[in-house]
Amino acid sequence: MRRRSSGDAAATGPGWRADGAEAWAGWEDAAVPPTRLGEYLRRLDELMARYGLSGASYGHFGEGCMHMRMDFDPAHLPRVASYRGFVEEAADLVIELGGSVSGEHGDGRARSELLRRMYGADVTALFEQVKRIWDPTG
Amino acid sequence: MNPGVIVTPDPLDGNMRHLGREKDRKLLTVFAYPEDDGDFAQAQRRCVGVGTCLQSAGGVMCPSHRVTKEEQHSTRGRAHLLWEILPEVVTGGWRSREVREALDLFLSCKGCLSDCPVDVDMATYKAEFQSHHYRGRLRPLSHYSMGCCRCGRGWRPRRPERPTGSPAPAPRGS
Repeated sequence: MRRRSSGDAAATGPGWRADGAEAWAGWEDAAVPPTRLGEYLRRLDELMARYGLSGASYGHFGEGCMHMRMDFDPAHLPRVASYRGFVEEAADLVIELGGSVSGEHGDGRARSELLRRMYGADVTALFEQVKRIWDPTG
Repeated sequence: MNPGVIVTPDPLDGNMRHLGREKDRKLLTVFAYPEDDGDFAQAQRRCVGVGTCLQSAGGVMCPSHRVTKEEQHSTRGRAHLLWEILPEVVTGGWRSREVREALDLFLSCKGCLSDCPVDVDMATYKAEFQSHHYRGRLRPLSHYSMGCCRCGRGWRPRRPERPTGSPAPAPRGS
């Protein structure tokens, strides 16, 4: 069986974060202008507390881009609903601060839906036109 | 190109892999999985697709992927295939031929145990799978020959034979 972490895990129970929780991507790549990073992190902490979430953050402070792994629970429906609520509010926060929901990674299925919030209807319509020109069959 | 993202996005909480009925399936397992709450499904949720096992240099993971360059022969590919036993995406469950084939080239070198950032322990999962897969059936011969390495102890001569040309030991008591 697993040896490397068995000492920690015995004390903290199951899971793979140091405190025993499962940890997930999803809100793992938002970035704000570096001058707004402090405000972003303080308000994100409040938001996480409101949703009962915790997470480990790491990343590029100098560039305002924070990676995170949070204890979302993708295996239980009510918690998935709360995941959606959290991500929507976090996206609004980042947009208000002039940032981006994806600082360094792709948008993918986890964040494409948020692009409409970030860029607005007009720019999203332009995206659609470009996509149709290059990829008419989708 | 890339349907379901950017301009025609799927809901961000759509197609959640872990939300199906399989999350509640408790399989009777050979190993205890104490670090995963005793739950094989939770152990299979460890792999979140980081892809350290797909690197082509540095570290020791994953030798079979470095040779074949195929996802199914990486730790990530195997972890996802093993998960698919739970929702019965692969046919046959523990008896699945696809999963056995993906695990065939797995060396049990435990490189993943030291290199994987979320501690996917494929050697344990392979032993788990094979235990169920071959239950009540004959295993390949190599399993018996490797498994019986220690049985050979009884066949060895009790004392090593005298190397050719070495002097005979002096008789005791002289």
